[in-house]
Amino acid sequence: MELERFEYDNSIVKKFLVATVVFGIVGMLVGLIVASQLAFADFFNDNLLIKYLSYGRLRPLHTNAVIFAFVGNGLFAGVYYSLQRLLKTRMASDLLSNINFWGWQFIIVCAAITLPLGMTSGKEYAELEWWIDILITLIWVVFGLNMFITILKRRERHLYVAIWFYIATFVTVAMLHIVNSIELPVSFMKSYSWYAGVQDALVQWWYGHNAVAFFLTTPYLGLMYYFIPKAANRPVYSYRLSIVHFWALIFIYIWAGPHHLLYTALPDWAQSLGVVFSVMLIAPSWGGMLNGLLTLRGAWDRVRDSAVLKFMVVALTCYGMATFEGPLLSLKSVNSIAHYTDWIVGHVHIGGLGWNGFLTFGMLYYLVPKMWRTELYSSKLASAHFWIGTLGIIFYALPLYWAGFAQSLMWNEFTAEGFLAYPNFLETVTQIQGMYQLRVLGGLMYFTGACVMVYNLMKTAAQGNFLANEADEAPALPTGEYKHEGEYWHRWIERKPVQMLVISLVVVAIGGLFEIIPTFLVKSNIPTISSVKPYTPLELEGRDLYVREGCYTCHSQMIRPFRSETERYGEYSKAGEFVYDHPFQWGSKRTGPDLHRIGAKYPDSWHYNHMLDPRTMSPGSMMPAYPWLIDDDLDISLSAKKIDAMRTLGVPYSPEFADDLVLADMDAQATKIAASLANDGIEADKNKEIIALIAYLQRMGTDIKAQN
Amino acid sequence: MNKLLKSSIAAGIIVFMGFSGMAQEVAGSSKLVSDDVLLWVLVGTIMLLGVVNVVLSGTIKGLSSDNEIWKVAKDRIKSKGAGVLIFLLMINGFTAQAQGGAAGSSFVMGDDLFYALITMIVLMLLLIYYQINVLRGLLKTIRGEEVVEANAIESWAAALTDVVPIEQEESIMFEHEHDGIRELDNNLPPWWLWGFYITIAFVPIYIAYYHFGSGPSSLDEYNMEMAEAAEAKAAYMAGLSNLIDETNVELDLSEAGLASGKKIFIDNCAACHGQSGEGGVGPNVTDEYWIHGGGVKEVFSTIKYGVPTKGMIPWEAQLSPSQMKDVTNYILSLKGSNPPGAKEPQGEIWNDESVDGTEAAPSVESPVETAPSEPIDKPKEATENQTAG
Repeated sequence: MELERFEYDNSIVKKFLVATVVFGIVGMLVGLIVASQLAFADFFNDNLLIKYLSYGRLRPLHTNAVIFAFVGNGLFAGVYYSLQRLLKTRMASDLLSNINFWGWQFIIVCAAITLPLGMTSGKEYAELEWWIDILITLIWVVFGLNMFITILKRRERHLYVAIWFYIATFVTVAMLHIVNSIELPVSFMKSYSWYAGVQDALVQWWYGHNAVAFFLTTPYLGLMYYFIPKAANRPVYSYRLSIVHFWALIFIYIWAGPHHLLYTALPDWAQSLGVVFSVMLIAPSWGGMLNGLLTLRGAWDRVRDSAVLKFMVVALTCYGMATFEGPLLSLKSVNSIAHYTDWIVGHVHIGGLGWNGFLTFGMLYYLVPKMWRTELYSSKLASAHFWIGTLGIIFYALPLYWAGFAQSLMWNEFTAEGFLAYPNFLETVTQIQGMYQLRVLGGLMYFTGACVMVYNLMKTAAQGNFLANEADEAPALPTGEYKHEGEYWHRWIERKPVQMLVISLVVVAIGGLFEIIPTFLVKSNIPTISSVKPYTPLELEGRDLYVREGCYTCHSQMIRPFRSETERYGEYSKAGEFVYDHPFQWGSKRTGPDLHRIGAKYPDSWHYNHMLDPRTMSPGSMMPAYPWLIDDDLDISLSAKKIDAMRTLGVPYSPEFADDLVLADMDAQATKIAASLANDGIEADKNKEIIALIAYLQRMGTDIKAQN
Repeated sequence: MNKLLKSSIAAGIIVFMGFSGMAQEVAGSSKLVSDDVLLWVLVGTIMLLGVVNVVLSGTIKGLSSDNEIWKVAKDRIKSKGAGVLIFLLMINGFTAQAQGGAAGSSFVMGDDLFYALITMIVLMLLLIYYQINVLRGLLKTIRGEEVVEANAIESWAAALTDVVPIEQEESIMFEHEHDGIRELDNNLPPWWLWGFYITIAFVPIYIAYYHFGSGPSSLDEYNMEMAEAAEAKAAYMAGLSNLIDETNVELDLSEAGLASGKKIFIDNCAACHGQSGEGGVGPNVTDEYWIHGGGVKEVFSTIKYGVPTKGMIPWEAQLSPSQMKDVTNYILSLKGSNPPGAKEPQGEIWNDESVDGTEAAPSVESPVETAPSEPIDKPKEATENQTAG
């Protein structure tokens, strides 16, 4: 058979590699800053109180940077490298590759600008505004198109397991991103989620959970399936295990989203589905770990010497731990302890730092010497990176586990008289300050390791000679049907990329449809509460400020039906209370107390003073001050449009309630609040942002109180 | 959960034992597993296993009593056989004990008993496996076959992993390669596969229990928790004499009470009323002007029930009666202290003689006012349209 000659495009891989490293460092640095803001709150409040860098705005920047910039570029780098080689062809189009690269970097820059400016849709891990969402969709489609055309013009008959994972990643991320990002734009800067309350929460966590699955897990499993056998020079342990765990993983993963909403106002049946599918997820997840680790059979002696393998072994181990812990956390009894605490933050960082971080590092240590055609500059430095990084993970996670348990125990403890043992939430926060500080140390170690790697890789590149176009040869693919006698049934689909794509989409769509459609269509899932009314325009503006400042990064708005929560916060939250909440703001972590029943709990003046400097009202608080809310005028240019938008989304404002009526209503309510502040001796301008925020805070969770 | 866990383990064991029909019945019944059924299932299993144990050990004994054979087999199975026999006796003793204990217990299955029984079952299963191995060795010896001495751990590991050794892996290597990557055709690791099956079996049990059986909903759990707490609190309170409330609280300026009151004040009240009671968001509590009455009963009552309309929160859920008494006394001890920065007087001058005790009832019932303003012209059907957005 005649061999065809072709060249692999290494320069696109190089670009993505550089971006991975750069944004990895940036993302980790932002992580260090937000961790320090919690650990050394006083220092930041006294010296570094900057509107654009407050915790609520930076934390989404950290999560978006490490997920979409660091891991995102990492997965592109790995896919672009391995795909070409597994298919024995160059990428279909250098132009598409470059659009993919520059488009993705442009999105990252947009994110880095808009998030600190407070432009956010207020949904975790999907904070970017509507037009960036559209850009993401377009660039993702470019990536998929490029990958698919490449697959179609391949010189290799069968698709290797890594590519199954790439295909599933592509279709599922597209589906998740598009469905979750349906928003109604009010302006360039602002949009509202199409969904409200419980439904928004379900869609969001269907997305959030599966972003972990299909952005952080499946593409990286694909990379693992390429780089571990390559680096260890060992055959993959079990082809059958690949098949079973691949299909089981993508099918089951999708259903497990509701485990992020256990004991919330989400209907019980959806919660139960989240529980059982999470439990079933253990084996399929571990299938990947096993196939990776067992591939190293007979090569363990090499693990000691190879930086690449060392990182990958720890990555797989962390993957195994996190995917066992996840189902454990999905059991309702465990979840009731761990949810809202820092345990969860520790858990995700086992996955983030261990699995994604270490696998990326391993890949980088493999690729740079390969593409620059040289040896690694220093294996000692790589080894140092490995140890400091591993210790960093431990120092990061353990304090947070400790903190999580401490929080949970303190939140739930009662005295013999039947009172909360720690009625003041602040006590539970100050208790874990030391743990937050240790966590910064862990993060710093991990970051230091990454910096050592950057140096090592730069030195390696400097001593090497980059090969932009790598020549290879392979026979062309003969046309016509192709079938081996007695081959595995699964071989069929490995020859049919389009069928693979379609079947993957069907498999991943089932779980979502099964959970989301009934929640939208069956009325009994969200029982109506007649006393729940739409927000006033001023309250709506206040709510937008709440979203802008990222309050949800520390405060939940979801009181679970536990004695310890109803005693502390008030009546547990009902599904019917959130029907006008576009987007929902239930939150996922309680660094501060729940706010769902904050309305009418304190006087207006308390909130005013508290936002100006939280420590005047609660001494020792670690919440940042928000002086700009008091200085800045409320932007009312969009207020009427926002009411229109809400009406479009089904919020029952009367058609006449528009324009001047809206503004007049806002003015009346603002005047009232300013008067109440004046009554307590605070001279406040009714046109400031703080007035709107107070309006919202005082309204929150009160509709149902009025009914009682 | 605990209950469910027990049921799942029990059901898992029943499935494992092959009584799958029974497991279904157990899972499907409205009360998944009542304690007496659970007890009988577990005890029954143990008895069954005990019978198997006894039969196997009898067979082993019988075979090995033939001296000729025993001599031959002895070297290979001596340690095993002796261990098994001793172990067997112990286990049978335990079984008898457990049965005795079980018979004596009421219908409430305690955790200890449950886990003891489960442990017993697991141990007995291990024992049976071991006995069968010994028996096999014996039989082979009798038949004069070559006994390949397999280490128990190794054979377990082989059964669990079902892996083709590296030396023979060429035999299961696919011809195909992807960029130099070859694939092996190892079987799915049995331990993994069984783990997967067990988690799958968990699904119908869980769903049946929580959605078709007696499993509590989230709100049921909440109601049970609250009922338990109320009961515990009532029991605790019943044991206390002299419950303090707004009808019997007395002025008490003793040092210990004031010190405790001061701490409570600084922790909870100072944010609004000032470190020295000079006032801030809330009124000055050191002057003689009071909005809701300045007698010990009135102040106690204001603290206890709050004045929600004005932002004074009710403290009865957070402070115990004696704590509220202490802080009341502390506040009253501040009268006339004239702290710096005192807020201007609010309310009226209070003197105890002006009111007789009966009129001190606080405005407990005042309704909570909600949002300052409401959207204009809110349609009545507002809440009708909100489902299924």
